[in-house]
Amino acid sequence: MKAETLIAQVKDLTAPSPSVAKLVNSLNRADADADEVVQIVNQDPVLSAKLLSICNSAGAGAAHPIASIKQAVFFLGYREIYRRVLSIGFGDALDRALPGYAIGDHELWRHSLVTALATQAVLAEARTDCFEPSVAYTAGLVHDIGKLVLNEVLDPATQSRLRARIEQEGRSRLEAERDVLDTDHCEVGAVLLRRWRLPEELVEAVANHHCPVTCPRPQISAVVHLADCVAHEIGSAPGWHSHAVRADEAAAQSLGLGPEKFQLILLSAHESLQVVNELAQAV
Amino acid sequence: MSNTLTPPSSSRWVVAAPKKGLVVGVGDMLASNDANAGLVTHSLGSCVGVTVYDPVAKCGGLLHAMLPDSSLNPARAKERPFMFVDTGLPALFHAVYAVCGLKARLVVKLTGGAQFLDEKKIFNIGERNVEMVLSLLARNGVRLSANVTGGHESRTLRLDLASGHVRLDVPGRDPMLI
Repeated sequence: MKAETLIAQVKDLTAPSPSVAKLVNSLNRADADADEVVQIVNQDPVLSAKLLSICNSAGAGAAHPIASIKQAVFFLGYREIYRRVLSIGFGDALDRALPGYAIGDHELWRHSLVTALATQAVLAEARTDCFEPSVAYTAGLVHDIGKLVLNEVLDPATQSRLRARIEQEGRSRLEAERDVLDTDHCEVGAVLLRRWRLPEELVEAVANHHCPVTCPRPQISAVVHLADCVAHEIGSAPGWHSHAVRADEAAAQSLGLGPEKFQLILLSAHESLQVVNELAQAV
Repeated sequence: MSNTLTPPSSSRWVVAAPKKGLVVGVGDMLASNDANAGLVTHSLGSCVGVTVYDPVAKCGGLLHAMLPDSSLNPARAKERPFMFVDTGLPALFHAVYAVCGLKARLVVKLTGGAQFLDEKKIFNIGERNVEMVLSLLARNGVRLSANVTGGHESRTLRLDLASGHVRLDVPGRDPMLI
């Protein structure tokens, strides 16, 4: 089965609203500014309403009610707004149970968000400055979107075959998918994102998040890969195979991450998980 | 006796209340003397899970620690001692003493410490977690009754507070009592 064939079978996977895509594009540029963010969010009433409701929730800790996007940007800072917007925009797509992966309601959403936050933890410790943190964040957020497609289109027999490969033969999820499906959730996710016209840098990071590109210099995929491993490690996605991932040694080395730095990343990602759990109650 | 299938009219019966499952998260610990409860922790990868049980007082505790050494971030360790083995393990014992456990009677079991994340042991967190538990126990003269660690498995660990049974669930395998 090819990735395109699989995606063609999905019926109700809605793309994030155009304003989210616009926002992703604008923030991937170095010269993005707060005014532009405000303008884009203001064009999308649903997004604006959800954003304001998050800003005014008890967990956000605003001293005064926040009534406009401009105030919201001022209150949270535009990078934080961007993060929230992404989680709202892709949240609808990611926030569903995946029985084929033994992933319950909200769990993929939570894993995606923790991975996104973990990319920042990785970048804080890593020896690199060759990419824009917000792109790594977005890539972390959407890295498992291919799983949505696979979950939707695979019949129970195929899902059981995948499961048997992992549980009885001790394969990683990726090997099992390649064996059984002749494609994997990374490839499927990349095809989907390309179809949604998201930037190529992002698409490549998703495509390679299990086989990170580390030459000639560490790419975003290396950061997303390690963030994904960290997010699995701290138990953000308790599916039955949640630990069927393998960290890539070259990715860690190319970012200059030894055991101690990796532990610091784990620690900081665990803090993010707590934040995400609180956020899950606010949304 | 006319019909053995019908209980005598004087019989009395009561349906047992369901067992409480108290969930212990990553970097957390729980101790209890509620014999009607079970402690459970999910997704032990390279983290370690330690159970402590007093079969006489029927009380016990469960620790799910993530990293071996609190010197990595002492401030964080103060805030969340159960995140680290070296601060979490003593705290686990003290919590069990607090619910009437007696050191001499405690049955201690250890699991987790898998190398699933890095087969080539670049980060080596699982092994270091296990080493830290073993050295702390040895230093304090505590004997370990079970040690099921390493491998590439994600484990779910349960401690039943009525029986003291410690059960391990690994995806795709039969549950195992250790």
